[in-house]
Amino acid sequence: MTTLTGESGQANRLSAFMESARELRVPWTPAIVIVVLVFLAIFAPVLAPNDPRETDLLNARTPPFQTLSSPLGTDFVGRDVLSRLIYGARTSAFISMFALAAGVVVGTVLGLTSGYAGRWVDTIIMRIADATMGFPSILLAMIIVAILGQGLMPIIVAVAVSTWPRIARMIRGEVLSVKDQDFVTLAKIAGVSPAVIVWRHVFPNVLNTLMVITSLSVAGVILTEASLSFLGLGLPPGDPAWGIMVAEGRVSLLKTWWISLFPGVIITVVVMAFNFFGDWLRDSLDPKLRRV
Amino acid sequence: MTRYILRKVAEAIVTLLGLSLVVFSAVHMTGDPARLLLPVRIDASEEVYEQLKEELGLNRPFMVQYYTFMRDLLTKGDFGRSVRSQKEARHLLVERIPATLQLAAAGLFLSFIIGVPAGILSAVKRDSIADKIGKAVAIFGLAAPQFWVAIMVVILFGAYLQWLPVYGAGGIRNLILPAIVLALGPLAAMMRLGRSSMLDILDSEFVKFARVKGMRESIVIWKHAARNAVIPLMTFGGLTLAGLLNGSIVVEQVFAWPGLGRMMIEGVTQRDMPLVQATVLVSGFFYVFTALVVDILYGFADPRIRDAN
Repeated sequence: MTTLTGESGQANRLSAFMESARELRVPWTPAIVIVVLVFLAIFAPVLAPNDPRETDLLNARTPPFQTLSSPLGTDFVGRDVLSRLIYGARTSAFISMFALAAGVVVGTVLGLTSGYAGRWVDTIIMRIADATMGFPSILLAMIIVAILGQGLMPIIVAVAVSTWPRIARMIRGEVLSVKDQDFVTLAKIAGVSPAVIVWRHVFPNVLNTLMVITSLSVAGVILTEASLSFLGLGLPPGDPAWGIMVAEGRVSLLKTWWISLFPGVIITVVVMAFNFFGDWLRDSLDPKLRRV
Repeated sequence: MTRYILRKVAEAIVTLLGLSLVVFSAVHMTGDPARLLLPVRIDASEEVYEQLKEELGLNRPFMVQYYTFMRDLLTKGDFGRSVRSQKEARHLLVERIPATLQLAAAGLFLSFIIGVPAGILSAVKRDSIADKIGKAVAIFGLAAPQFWVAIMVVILFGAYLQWLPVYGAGGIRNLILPAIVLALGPLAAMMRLGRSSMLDILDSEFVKFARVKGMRESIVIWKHAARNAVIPLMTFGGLTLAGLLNGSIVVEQVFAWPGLGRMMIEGVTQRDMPLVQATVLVSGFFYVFTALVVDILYGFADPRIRDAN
């Protein structure tokens, strides 16, 4: 008897979960793509059949779907394309995560400051944000790479710089609508310091917007990183990154089309997944942002 | 209106000055031009080095150097010399700018001429096959990395089918493929924006009124609704331009197009800072100038914008 109720209780919970999932209309395909990407990034060393950097000149330029050891073929120095793609997921996820985190932190802090402080602080921060946002992101990234040199750190900074202004703008807008509400005024009267008001009372109210704008920024971050890698402004050549792989395929395009094709398809699919996912999150968390 | 224009012009000037200061200090930080200019093979003594530094004015305070640079730039159009080729940067710019402008203009033209009607059509024939195809194109265009599309186009149309040239500049035939690739992103965005703005307009009172009046459907759509739906696309022009400049760097690289973008990449990878400085300033100028024109046009079109603030 007890087991029965236990089971039905579980079944209820399961059906309740399915019900709420249906109501939320989670976009399953994009969600699965994102989960697979994260999985590949974390377990790349286990999942990749070969070393992504190991060259094998005897088996160079093996076309895809010919051998089991390199199902997606090998590149012009015999590196395994599939393994490089899997490690590429790791590179892309790593750079995107740090760049996004930096962009979100800077954007949030400046957006909160700008919105809450107002006046000249607001003017200065928003002018800089507008100038940065309007400016072509690759151009901006090139200036940064020119200053800092090539490598992991510069590319993260470069991508972060192109990410923060949009976040700061959105957060500032939200702060403006929150800061005149009664609970903020009461906190001020109670003598709470501005920093505490912003952190304890304003910030939690802009969290939804922050989540939406962050998820909508992921696709751009991935694309910018890939473009910079492609142009040879990111990681050193030979490193497994999708943008670099596309560039490597250019050596002999007609004969080894697969080297460029696969990483590009993957970037497109991943960016689409994040676009759909971001749209869904926006519609379900914050429908008034529809026009963003 | 005059006040609005003056304010916009002032903002543009401040932005450009800020950009020049940022770029100049960036170049200043990246290394000592005197060391770079001294050929490695000659065993350059410290004296020669000091002398060169004196000649180039590198001993003077930073702000004085910046002032001198800006003065030469504004009065003589002097951007300095390339560290590698020793050529004057302005001569290189004059060679490269027309190619980039040609490509950007073709890209902008294509994205407008295809994107706007396609977006409007999507809205009018909502949920039809055409709308669905349009949506798919837009989703792909916004997600596919431009550099990859460029390479696939090179493989397919250039190498495999051999329809059109894919290397370097030349006649119209050379322009077609790079321009299409460059236009893809803005085109997708314009289709989406055009569709949503047309849907809003079709839902508005004046369109309903025109229909109730018994006006012919084609006149309602193309004469009344479409005209209004195009207005928001105008501001989008500025954004599109940023996208085109971004894209042209990548597209020029793939199609070996001899424009500013390639010059910029060459500058960065060879650490030829005067070249980077010159190209970034010129691209920045084009960008700010077009944004200014768009802002002013928009001020004419919509009084609410110019009276704000």
